[in-house]
Amino acid sequence: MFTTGDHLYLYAALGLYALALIMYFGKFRGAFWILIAGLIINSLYLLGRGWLGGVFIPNPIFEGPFLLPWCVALIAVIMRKAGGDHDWGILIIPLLLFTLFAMYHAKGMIPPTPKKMTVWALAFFFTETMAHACFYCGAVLAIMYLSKNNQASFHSLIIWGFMAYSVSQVVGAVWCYMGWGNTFRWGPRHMTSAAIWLIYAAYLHLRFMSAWNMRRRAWYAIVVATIVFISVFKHYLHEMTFPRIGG
Amino acid sequence: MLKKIWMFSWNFLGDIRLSFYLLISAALFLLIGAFYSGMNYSYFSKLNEMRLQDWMIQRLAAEPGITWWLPLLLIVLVLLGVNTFICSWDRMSSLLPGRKEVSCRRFLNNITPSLIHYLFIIVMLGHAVTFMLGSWQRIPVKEGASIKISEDFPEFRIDSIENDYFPQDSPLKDRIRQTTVSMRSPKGESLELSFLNHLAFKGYHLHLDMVKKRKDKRSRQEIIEQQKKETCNKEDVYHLKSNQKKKSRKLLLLVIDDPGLYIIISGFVMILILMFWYFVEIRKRNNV
Repeated sequence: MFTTGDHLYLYAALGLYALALIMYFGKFRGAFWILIAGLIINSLYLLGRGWLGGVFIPNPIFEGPFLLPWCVALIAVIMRKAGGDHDWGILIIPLLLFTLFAMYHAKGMIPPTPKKMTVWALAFFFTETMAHACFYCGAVLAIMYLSKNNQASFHSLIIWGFMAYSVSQVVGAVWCYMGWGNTFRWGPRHMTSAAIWLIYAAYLHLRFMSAWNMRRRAWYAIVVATIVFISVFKHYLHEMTFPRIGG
Repeated sequence: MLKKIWMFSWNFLGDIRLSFYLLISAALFLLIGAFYSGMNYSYFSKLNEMRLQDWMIQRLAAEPGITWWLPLLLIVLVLLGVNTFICSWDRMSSLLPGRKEVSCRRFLNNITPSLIHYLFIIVMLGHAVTFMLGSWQRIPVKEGASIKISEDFPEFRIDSIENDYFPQDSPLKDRIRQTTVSMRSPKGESLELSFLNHLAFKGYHLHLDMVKKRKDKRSRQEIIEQQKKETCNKEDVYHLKSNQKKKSRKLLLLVIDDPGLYIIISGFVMILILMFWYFVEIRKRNNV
C-alpha cells in the first residue's frame, strides 16, 4: 500500500491534529473537519502498517502506540457529533501527545509468532486500546470538570471504557487459551490487565458510597488513568527493545 | 448473642465500602505481582504449568521475597467472593418482594447487576478449579515417534510435521507462519494439530507449542543468565535462521485437562451480554 513504510503520513496526521487544536482554541470554524482529515490520514497510515512484513499481516495495525492516537481521535469525533459537549476539542491535547509518542516509538513490526495470527488477538488489542483511550479521555474531561465545574461527561466515557475493557478481558482469555492453554497466565501483562479492570470496577461502586461525590470521583478517574498510563507506557517502552522489521 | 455476632459479621462482610477496599487491594497485589513476575519471568512462568498448591509448596517458601504477595492476593480474592455474594444476596432479597409492583422488563433490569455479580463469583470459582485441579503435560513431538499421554489414551504415532514459512522474498523469510502435526493411532484414528487450532480428545485439550531447546549440561550461572534474559517475546523461537545452526527448537504437545474452562468462558460471555443490556437500558431510561 502507498503508505506502507512511509512515516510522513504519521507526521501529516500530527500536523493536522495540531492545526485542529489551534483552530479549536482560536474559535475558528472548521476545526472539526481538520480533525476528520487527520483521522483519515492516520487511518491510511495504520492500514499501511499491515504490509510492513511484505505480506498483509494485520497485527502491526493494532499495535498500541499507533492505534491509541487513532482511538482518541475517533472518541473526539464521536463526542462532537453526539453533540451537547463543547469540550470535545480538549481531547486533541492528549491526541497530539500520543501521536508524538508514536513518532518517537520504533515503527517497524514485531515479527508475529504463529500464536498471534488470529482474529482474537486483533480483537483483544483493539478493545484494550479503545478502553485505554476512553480512560485517558475520561481523565482529561475530569480535569475539565474540576476546573470549570461543567457537565460530568467523563463518567460516561469511563463506563464505555470499562465495557470495552471487559470485552478485551474475555476475548483475551479466549485467545490466551487457544494459544497457550490457559485463560489466565501469571505474567506481568495479564496481572496488570486484571488489576486495571479491578480498579475501574471499584470506580463503578463509588456511586453507592455517599462520601464519593462527583468531584471526588473525578479525582479518582484522574489518578487511576495515571496508573494505567504508567503501566501501559512502561510496556510500550519495553517493546521498543524487541527486534523489528520495517523500521 | 450468636445472632448478633452473625448479623454483625453479615453486615460487615456485605458492606459496599468493603467491596471497594477489597477491589483496590486485589488490584494492588496484582500490580505488585506483575512487578515481581516481570523481574523473575521464568520463576513465575512455572505457575502456568502446575497446580497452584503444588507451586506454592515448591516455590513459595523458597523465595519469600518475591512471592509474598501471592497468598495475600488469594486471601483478598476469597474475601471479595464472600463480600460479593452477601452484597448481591441482600440486594436480591430487597428487590424480590417488590417484583409485582414494576414491569417485568424493569424488574429484570433491576436484578441484572446482582446476576452479573453472581456470574463473577462463578467465573472466579472456575479459575480456582482450573488453578487447583487442572493438569498440563508437555510432551516432545518428533516425526516418526510414538506418544502415550495416559493409560486411557491411545498411543499415537507422529506421521508428519509440516512447517509453513512466510514467503522467501519477504522480510519475514525463514520465519514459521504455521506448523501442522499429523498423528495416527493404532486403530486408525487420525488427528491434525496446529498452532491456535487445538483439539478436544477424550476429555483432554491438545495444543501445540514450540520452545527453545536448552543445553543438556548448563552451569548454574548459565541457567541464571538465561532466566534473566527470558521475556514474553518469543519471535526468535519461530525464526529458523537464528536457530538453524544450533538446532535449538523443540516442538511440544501440550496436553491439558482444564475442568474450569467452560465455567469461565460461559460465565464471561453471560456477564458481557448482561452488562451491555443493562447499560443500554439505563441510557434509554435516562434519555426519556
